[in-house]
Formats: sequence, C-alpha cells, structure tokens
Amino acid sequence: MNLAQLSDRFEIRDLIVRYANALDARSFQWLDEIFTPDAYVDYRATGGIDGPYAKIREWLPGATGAFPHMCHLVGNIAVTLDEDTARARTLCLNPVEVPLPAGGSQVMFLAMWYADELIRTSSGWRMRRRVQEGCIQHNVPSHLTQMPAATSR
Amino acid sequence: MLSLQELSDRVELEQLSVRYANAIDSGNWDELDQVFTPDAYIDYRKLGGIDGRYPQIKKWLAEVLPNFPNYCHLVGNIAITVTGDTATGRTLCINPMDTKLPAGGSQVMFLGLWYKDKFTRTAQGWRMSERVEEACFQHNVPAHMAMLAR
Repeated sequence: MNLAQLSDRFEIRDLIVRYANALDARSFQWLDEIFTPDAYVDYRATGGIDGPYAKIREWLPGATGAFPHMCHLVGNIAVTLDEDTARARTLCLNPVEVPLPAGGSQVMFLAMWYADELIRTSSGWRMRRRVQEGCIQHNVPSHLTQMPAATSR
Repeated sequence: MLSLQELSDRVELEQLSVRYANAIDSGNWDELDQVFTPDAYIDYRKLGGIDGRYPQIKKWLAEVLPNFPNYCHLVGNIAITVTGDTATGRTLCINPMDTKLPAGGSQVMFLGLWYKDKFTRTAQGWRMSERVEEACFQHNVPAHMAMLAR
C-alpha cells in the first residue's frame, strides 16, 4: 500500500468515526462535513426513515433527543478504494438508554452494519450513500413499537 | 493527503489508548508508566472513581480493580487532533465489569464512557498528559454499586 492509499484509508475511517461522534455528541452540524449535500441515507432497518441528506439532517435531532445516553461504537471498518470513490462496510454496536413510560429508563443494545459509498471531493472524502443493515436487538422496551423485528438471515 | 509523519503520529496516539486498555485489563500497572506522563492528571469521578495525578491513580487502580473478577475495556472511535507536539483525543470505551455481589456470586454490568485526552510528544514518544472520563450508558449495575455517578 502506498502513502496515498494509507492516507485515504485513514481519512475514510476518520469520517466514519466523526459520524458516530456527531450523533453521540448531538453535534448534528458536523454531519454537513460528512455527507455530500445530495447523499442518500437509509435508517429503516432500525425503525428510522430514509431519504436525501437534508431530510435526514432535519429528522435526527428529534429522533434521538429523547435518549439520555447513546453511543455508536464502530469497528470492522472494511474499505475498498477505487481511485476517487470508495465503498465501506462498518459494524456498529449501539447501546441506547430509553426513558420508560412509567419512569426510569432501560438500555437497549442494537447492532447494525453501515454499507457506505464515498466520494473524494475538493474538501476531502464524503459519504454519498449510507444504508443500515440490521443485526441484533437486545432488551428493547416494549413501548418502542416502531422498531422493526430483527430479520433473520 | 496525510503525510507519513501525520500517519505515524496518528497510529502512535491510537496505540496509547489500546496500550492503556491492555495494561488495565491484564493488571500490568507498570505498563501504564509508558502511557502517562509522570504528572498526568486523570479524572475517573464520572464513574465513581477518584481524580488526581498519575502516581496516586496508579496506586488506586492496583487496589480497586483486582476486586472485579473479570473486566475489559474495548476502545474505539478514536478521534485525534494533532497540533505540533501536543494533541487532543476522544475515545469511546465499552466496559463490561464482572462485579461481586454482597450475597455471593457476581453480576456483569456494562458501562459506556468516553475518554477526553490530552497528549504531549516527549523524547520517549507520545504520552498522555490528561485523561478525563465522561459517562455514557450504564446497564445491569448491581444495587450496591449505585454510587456510580451519572
């Protein structure tokens, strides 16, 4: 691997980590420097919406605002470079603290993969497509009825 | 494009967080001497621990952690910003802890936390000069451990 390829890999990994940090720190404005303006994002596998980035950006603060704590631990980042575009697949372990209707809270554990398409722009690498693929769901509170059942493979 | 120096700094700084986790998980406290500067400030208060300078923290870790039969610190999402010979970092850690129960037996609690770090380049390589914990989720914490700060 040459220096340019190593650099691309690090920058793409940084982008994937910055996405997680933007959500976990509720700094949604950081996402403007992660996605291309016309990116397509699909969160339907974990009960969310899909659509163009502008719609996702507007939806995220409300969709995650009720959770006192959450984190998105990403790993297994597999990157395939093709000059100025790239594909990546990332595993994410996502514990989310959910307030309960009767008081108190409960931590549910979700896992998912992100299937990403990336593009090199004049400002660096950006995501132009991110599609979630569901994995395990553990300890999901019963009132979260919008959560789709984990699909078996 | 990142230069070889930038890539090297990045890898060395990431390795410090991994080395910290491995030192703690294997009970190899002296290994921490290669992670922290001698006067590093460490703050574990958000998860029920103490804060202070490295020598005090090292002693405390060796006293407190052996009370837990098993534990691990899985770190990830390591975000680093290098400015010359200093750097800052943010790292996520998922920390399952096997905790002894007063009535016997044990229970595994799952803690999520971030480390907010400061680093300095020394003659021996990068070292951590500050590590402050920030709490995230807590799952399955035994009732007698309810002193965990939120």
